[in-house]
Amino acid sequence: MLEGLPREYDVIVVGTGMVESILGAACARIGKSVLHIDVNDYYGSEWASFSLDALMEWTQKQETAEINIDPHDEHEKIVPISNPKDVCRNVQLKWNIPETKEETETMEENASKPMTLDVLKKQSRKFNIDLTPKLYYASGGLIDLLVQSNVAKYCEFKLVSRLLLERNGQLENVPSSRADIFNSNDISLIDKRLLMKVIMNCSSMSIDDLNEDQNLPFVEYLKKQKLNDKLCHLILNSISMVDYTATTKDGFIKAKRYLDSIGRYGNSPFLFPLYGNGEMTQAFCRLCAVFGGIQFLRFPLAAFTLNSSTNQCTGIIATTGERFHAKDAVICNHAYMKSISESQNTIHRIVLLTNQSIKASEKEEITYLRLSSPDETGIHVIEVGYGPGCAPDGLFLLYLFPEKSQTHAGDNTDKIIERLLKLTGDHFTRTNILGQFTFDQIETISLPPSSIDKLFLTHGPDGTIDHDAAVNTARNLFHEIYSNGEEFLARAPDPEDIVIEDPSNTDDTSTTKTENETL
Amino acid sequence: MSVHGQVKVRTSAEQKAARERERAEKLRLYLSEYENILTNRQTADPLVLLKSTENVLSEHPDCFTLWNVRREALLKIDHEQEKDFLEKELSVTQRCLQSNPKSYSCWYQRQWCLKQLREKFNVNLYKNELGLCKKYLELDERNFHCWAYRYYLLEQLCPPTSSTDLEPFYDQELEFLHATIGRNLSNYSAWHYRSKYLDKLLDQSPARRSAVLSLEWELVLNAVYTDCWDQAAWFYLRWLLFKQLGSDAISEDKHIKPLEELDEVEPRNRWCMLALCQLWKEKKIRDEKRKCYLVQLANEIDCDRAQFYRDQI
Repeated sequence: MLEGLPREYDVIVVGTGMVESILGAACARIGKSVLHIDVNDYYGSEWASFSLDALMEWTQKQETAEINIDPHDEHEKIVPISNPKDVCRNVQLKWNIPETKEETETMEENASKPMTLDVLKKQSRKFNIDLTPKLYYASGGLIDLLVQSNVAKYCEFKLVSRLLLERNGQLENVPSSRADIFNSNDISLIDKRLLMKVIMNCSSMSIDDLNEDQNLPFVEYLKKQKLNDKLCHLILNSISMVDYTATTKDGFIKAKRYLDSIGRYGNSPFLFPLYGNGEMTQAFCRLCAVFGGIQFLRFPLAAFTLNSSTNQCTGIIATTGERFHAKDAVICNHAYMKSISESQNTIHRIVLLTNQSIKASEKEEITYLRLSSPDETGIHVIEVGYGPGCAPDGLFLLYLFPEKSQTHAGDNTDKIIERLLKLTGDHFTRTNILGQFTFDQIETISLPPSSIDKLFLTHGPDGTIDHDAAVNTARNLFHEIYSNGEEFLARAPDPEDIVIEDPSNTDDTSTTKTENETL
Repeated sequence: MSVHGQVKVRTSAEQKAARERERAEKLRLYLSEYENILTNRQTADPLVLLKSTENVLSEHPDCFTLWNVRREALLKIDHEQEKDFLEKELSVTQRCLQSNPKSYSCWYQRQWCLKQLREKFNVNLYKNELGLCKKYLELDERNFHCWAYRYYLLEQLCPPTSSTDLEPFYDQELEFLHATIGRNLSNYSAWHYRSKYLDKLLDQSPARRSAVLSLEWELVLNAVYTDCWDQAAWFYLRWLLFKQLGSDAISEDKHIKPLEELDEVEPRNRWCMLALCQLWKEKKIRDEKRKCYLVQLANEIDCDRAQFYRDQI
């Protein structure tokens, strides 16, 4: 199956995660020849989205056999890869609903017909379940990159229509715009003024204006502005979205970003991609292919090749022994390296399949809630349903994950779910949870870079809500590989501006014609 | 298509040239049509004129002369067909409004059509028009053409003074305006029309005066506290205090104190300072402070209007 595939490239990219996909597109864009492979039969690596069937298949991990390949000569060193799926540990999928209808006949009478697993499986394709759900700030980061590079034309988004916070033991809307504050019955007049003042300062002041306040803990700066505890918590948790330990500088930058993002595309600062986050990696892979990159899924990858005398990575080897060479760089997802087994930092991700939204609403919503308190790290909660094409009508996906990774974290799934259930009251209870999917995702962002020349390791996702880390890493690595001032993902031209040349004028076709004639 | 990964693309100079060619062509077509219509203005069949002007106006809705030609043509049509044509005219203007929702000519034409249809008054038609206004206001809540048109419609739909429906009619409109302000408290038009309807309501139901004004005060106080830099709310506040409540009804506790508290939290806010100066003058209190503020406003805070403040000392 690898016959006909060229052996020489400028860049070989291993893995189709976010960082790799952006990099692959950037390299192809400047005219480099790119081979972009993945051992999986799907795009996205740990950033992928799955239909229900595909997710159930993914939870059944297969062991890969070790392949032994002998080096060509004494200079060549073979570095076998690790199974990249090992970056997700402790995968569990539990159902609270019966398999089939027959089982329900024996159960107690229920007013409504209970949902069964085979009914869900029939609608498998209507699910798009993210391994790594994230939101997109309307201003900055990935959205800017998508717009600038014109990759945006490959994807569609919806606004995250509902932002919630925890207040008085319930879930309430986050007041962040002037209109929200004006209409709130919960805040006194003076507090409205003080809150608006802080918000307007966050938008209009620059970091330098803060002077010494920059290094104060943000919560102290806010108290200096005479905000009470409730309002401090509002800004810290729901606008800046930082922990209580954050500095004023960090809190300010993030608040600014949030406020700048409101109004760019609508009355909310966040967007969510139609059909789930897996679409993003595919969009960049598409750009790579448009500019001549070769995409190869289910690639039978065995190992990397190194030149031991120069300590340079020279390419990859397939399980069949065929070698592929990269002139400039081999870019690889850290998950393929055996060294990740040393990493103990994990992000415990929870996905609940539910039949009721956590808070009632007249219309279809995409909901984001951040839970936190003075002594704990933030927990992100994202709920999506039929609107963005992630679940069948009437069903929802509820994602819960911590902002920071933890070392040796125990399984706190039940604790987190209990905490949420306390806030949702009668509207949403345990009976609304049809299925529960959890896993521990090893965080590779803090792992050291490779010590091998021309081998560039990319990291997987972190627990933050946005893609900044991935975009910045991709940009930095790109400039490391091509440091002669090449542009990072310049805007791709619009179709109307592309001039199609008359094929009969080029030399290539005349050669083909001669070849055909002799055949 | 791709040679060594580089796609051949029109340069920005070529793009500009392509756009110029398009524009020149459009202009040429427009001018020839326009000439044609004017030459045949008096002689051509009104139906023909309506057709040709419609084509031009849908792309260039602000051509005043062509709308005149349409009005002349419509008046020439015989009586039985007139109603249909006038109603069709409304959909013509709607199409033109899509290219420019703030076209004076289009809104004027709509109003002209309704006036022509006066004898054949049709409540549903007016209600449809109100619906259209609502849609345009959703697109741009500050489209003053749309606001003015809305109020023309409401005047036509308004129940007679003797009717029991009149009070709910005003209340309903005040609700609509309340919601509009709730979405964006900078909406000057909304506050302005609110003042008009409040006047009408209080004329009609004087018994509700103190309750209504009390709620109104809470609304505008909420607005100035939320955004003390927005002038729309301050104008309304001063209107409410001085034109509606009147000097006797102004209470130091209820009206002046909250503004003084706001002043403490937001010093040097010219709107708050001006409102306080005017209030203190009315109630003949804090004279020294009032003069001091006016001097500050004239010399430092709002020098452009220095004389305005000095005149009040």
